[in-house]
Amino acid sequence: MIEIQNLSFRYGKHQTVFEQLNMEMKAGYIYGLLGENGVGKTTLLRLLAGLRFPTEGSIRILGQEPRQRTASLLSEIYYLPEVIDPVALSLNEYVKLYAPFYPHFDHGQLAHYVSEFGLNPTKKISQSSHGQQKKAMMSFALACNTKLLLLDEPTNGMDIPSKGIFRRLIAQAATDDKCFVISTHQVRDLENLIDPIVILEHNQVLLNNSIEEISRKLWFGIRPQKSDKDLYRENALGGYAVVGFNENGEETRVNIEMLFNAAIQNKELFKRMFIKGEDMEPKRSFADEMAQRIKSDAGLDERQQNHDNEPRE
Amino acid sequence: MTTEFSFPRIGLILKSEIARNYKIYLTLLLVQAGIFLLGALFGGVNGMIGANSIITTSNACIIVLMPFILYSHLFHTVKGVNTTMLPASQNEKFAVSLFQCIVLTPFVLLFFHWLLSTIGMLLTGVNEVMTQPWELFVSRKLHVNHGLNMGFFDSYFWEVISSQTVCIWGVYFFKTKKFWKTVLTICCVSIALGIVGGIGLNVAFDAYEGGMYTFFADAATRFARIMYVFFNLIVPVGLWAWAYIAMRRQQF
Amino acid sequence: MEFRQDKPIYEQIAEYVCEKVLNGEYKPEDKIPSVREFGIQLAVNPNTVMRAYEHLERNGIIYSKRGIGFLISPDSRQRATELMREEFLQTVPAFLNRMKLLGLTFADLQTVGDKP
Repeated sequence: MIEIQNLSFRYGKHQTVFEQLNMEMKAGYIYGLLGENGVGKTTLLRLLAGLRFPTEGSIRILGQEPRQRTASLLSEIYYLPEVIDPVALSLNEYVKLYAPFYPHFDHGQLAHYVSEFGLNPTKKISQSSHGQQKKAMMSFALACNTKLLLLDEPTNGMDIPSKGIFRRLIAQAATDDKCFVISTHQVRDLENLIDPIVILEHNQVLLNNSIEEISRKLWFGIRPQKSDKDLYRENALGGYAVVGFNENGEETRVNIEMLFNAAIQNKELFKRMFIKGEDMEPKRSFADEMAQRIKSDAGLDERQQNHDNEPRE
Repeated sequence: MTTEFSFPRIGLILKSEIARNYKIYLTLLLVQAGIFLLGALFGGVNGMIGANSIITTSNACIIVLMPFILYSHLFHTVKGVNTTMLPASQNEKFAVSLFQCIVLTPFVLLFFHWLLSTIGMLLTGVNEVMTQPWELFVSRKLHVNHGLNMGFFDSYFWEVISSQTVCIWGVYFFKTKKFWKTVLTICCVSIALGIVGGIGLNVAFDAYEGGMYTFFADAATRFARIMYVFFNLIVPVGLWAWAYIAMRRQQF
Repeated sequence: MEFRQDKPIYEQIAEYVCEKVLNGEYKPEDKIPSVREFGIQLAVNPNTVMRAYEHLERNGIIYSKRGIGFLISPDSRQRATELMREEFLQTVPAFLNRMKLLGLTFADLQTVGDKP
């Protein structure tokens, strides 16, 4: 559904957000977009929405470029930003005016979301609390049934019960013909729901893989001893909570927060493992080979940082 | 309805914009009525005539500035998202915005002004206005006698519209602080034209003193006519086109 | 639904179904919720539920019928017991290690088991 090819995006001449990014996103999946603040999550969503244009390279959604802002593509994309503009209309009035623009809008679904969220659809949105505003616009967004739904930090500002309701509604709304891209740093709010996981870093994608693929290559759990091969480690009851290589094919539950930390600490390695898809089937000397690579990456990561401002070849 | 230009969808866009903007229109009409009422209450017939001129001038200003009143949030990082993401082509959205500025706003304001004038005329005993209501638009007789018709507006309408195009251009060309940047641009362009004009006039006066009187008089008239066409036809159309191009390139 | 940290979610979902088989809530030939429905109930990605169902199908606890969905197998009780026993036994090494660390013996365990 989404094809991103050699996408580069810069603010002015010197602030590069993306450099030669290549990525594909398919229908039938709920993509979790993770990354530190300022790394470009919102920018990527706005590029997909057609609000920003690539500096180089191309984005194609359903075969069209979002920058053209064609009516046919816009009717299949809904972008819910982090900060929404609260309109001086009630939800019912808003729906009356804007639902006709979305060919797949379902009023029955809207009523369901409104009742699940406990909203008052006759109250002016601008006069509702921040959380109610978000839920109202979220209800509208989901009821539009667009093929692509872009959510920027959807659970920010939501109270705890609403987060659970939100999860349930997303699970309900996600059908095989739709693609959801949800950017967040509240990973726990969306755990279990997002699959595949995309981790963005300054200028690069470190990961764009399903939970299944990640759990095949990485091991998550508690080990009594430290090891040089640990990709990330935290103190925990029983020793250390570790992210390491999955050496014996055992499948463990992917802890997304720890996965994120591991990715940030081992950028080059993750890129090679997950983006370049280097063959990682457990082999005899596999674990040792990886240990070697970690050691050389420690040197590589430092060199990479020094090369940040130099032009790419 | 996913072709790129469909009248039903344009109707929907217009309906949604009016539903969002009706309070603005209402306020403008109430202000008109208010001015008229104040004039009538405190000045009788002369008060109404005075109010009439004020309304004419203020309507002209409002029409010129309407693009900023209606579209100041276009391309705003937060408030501009809904408009740009609305599933309609940019052509359709542009057409609707032009329609609102060039057709709808003047029509609404002028129609209401005409209503007020008619009432004023009736109140002052000009009963012909009932059988020939359109006289208010074109009749000089009523104008001379009562000063209560639309005033100069019927002959200066196009000038108002062509001035408005600068504001339309400003709304689409600038992303933020649209009004002030447009004002700044107008100042700079005026200064530049003033300089050019001043040099031109100097040259002309030298020629004049050298005895080229009749040639200068003809040239001046022809020049004035060319300038009129330029500023009231070519420039507006050019600015609309530039606004359209700017719109397609706006990212935020 | 709240999931534990120590097992993949799809396995925990499969375990959840097995529990219901073992306590009689799901009887043989009962239809279980579709992948999507179950995902909605548990607020879990449908892919994960799909893996759970594949796991259950492979172990003979459920089977799929065209046009209907997934049904509980006739011998599900026995197979569920087998599967859950296998998975339970996998937790034993860690348990034994802890016992060793704390210097506990099987006699100590007996005492706990005997308490009312």
